[in-house]
Amino acid sequence: MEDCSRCGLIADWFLFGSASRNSALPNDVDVLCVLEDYSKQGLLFSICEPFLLSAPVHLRVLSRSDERRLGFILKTSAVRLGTPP
Amino acid sequence: MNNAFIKELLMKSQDVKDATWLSDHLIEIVRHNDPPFQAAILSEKLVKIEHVAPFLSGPASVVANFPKIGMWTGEAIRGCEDAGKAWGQWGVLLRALGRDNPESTENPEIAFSRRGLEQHTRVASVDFELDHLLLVRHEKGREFRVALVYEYDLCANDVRVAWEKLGKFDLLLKTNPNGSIFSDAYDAARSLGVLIFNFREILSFLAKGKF
Repeated sequence: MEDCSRCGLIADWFLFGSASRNSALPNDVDVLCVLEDYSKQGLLFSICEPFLLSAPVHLRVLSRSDERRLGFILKTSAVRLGTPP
Repeated sequence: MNNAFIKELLMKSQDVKDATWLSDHLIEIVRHNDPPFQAAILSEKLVKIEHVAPFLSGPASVVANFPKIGMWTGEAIRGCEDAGKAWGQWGVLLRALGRDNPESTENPEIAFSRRGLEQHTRVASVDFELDHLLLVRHEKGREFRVALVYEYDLCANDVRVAWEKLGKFDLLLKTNPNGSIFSDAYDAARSLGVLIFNFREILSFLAKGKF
């Protein structure tokens, strides 16, 4: 998250799935990243890749409009990580 | 890969009594109620045959790739299956912890799709190109590259991300039975020459054979 922020990538981050429900041993950690749009998705993946290769993290990326359309945060009871940008 | 974090994660399991690294990638897992077993744990973006080869003739029951974003080549998968080893991402190892026979553990999402397609009366064969990209040969001779995508609600970006990650494919199978497929996903797929199906739909498509 901090690396993305340092690179000027504005995003909202959330935890969802079993890890957000304090499951003792989740299969993986589900993280949602909400971007303004998908134009910076490639940059996001390149910044996050080293971290994603060192942990069982599933990164779901949605644009703000897609997240609103899917109601993803509400449906999954996602928990915000960090403070809003 | 030998690190305390992985051992710590394994020790959180109610099935695990102890875990000891035997080498950089090999860990022995002692369980409360079942016999111990060994697992090889990798950390690769793309697991190839050379990554799994060192473990195929040894006592490891499971070969697991730790990062979720990691993929497996078909050759690495076949190597493990031919050697009677379970293969997959971290979740497969976690599943193995509670099984009598860890070596038969599967990723249920992949296994269900693969088995269902293999059992289809008009399908001649199913092979892995990658762990989430199947090569399905129809009895009429046509071959389809089938991408497996697990998202709950499938949208256009998911189609494009799958295309970037897996390379070209002909069919996209939404393996999560819940949620929906949004109309823009179909539009994105159409622009790529791809058809999107849920499981029932792909079976019907293959049965009709209209291609």
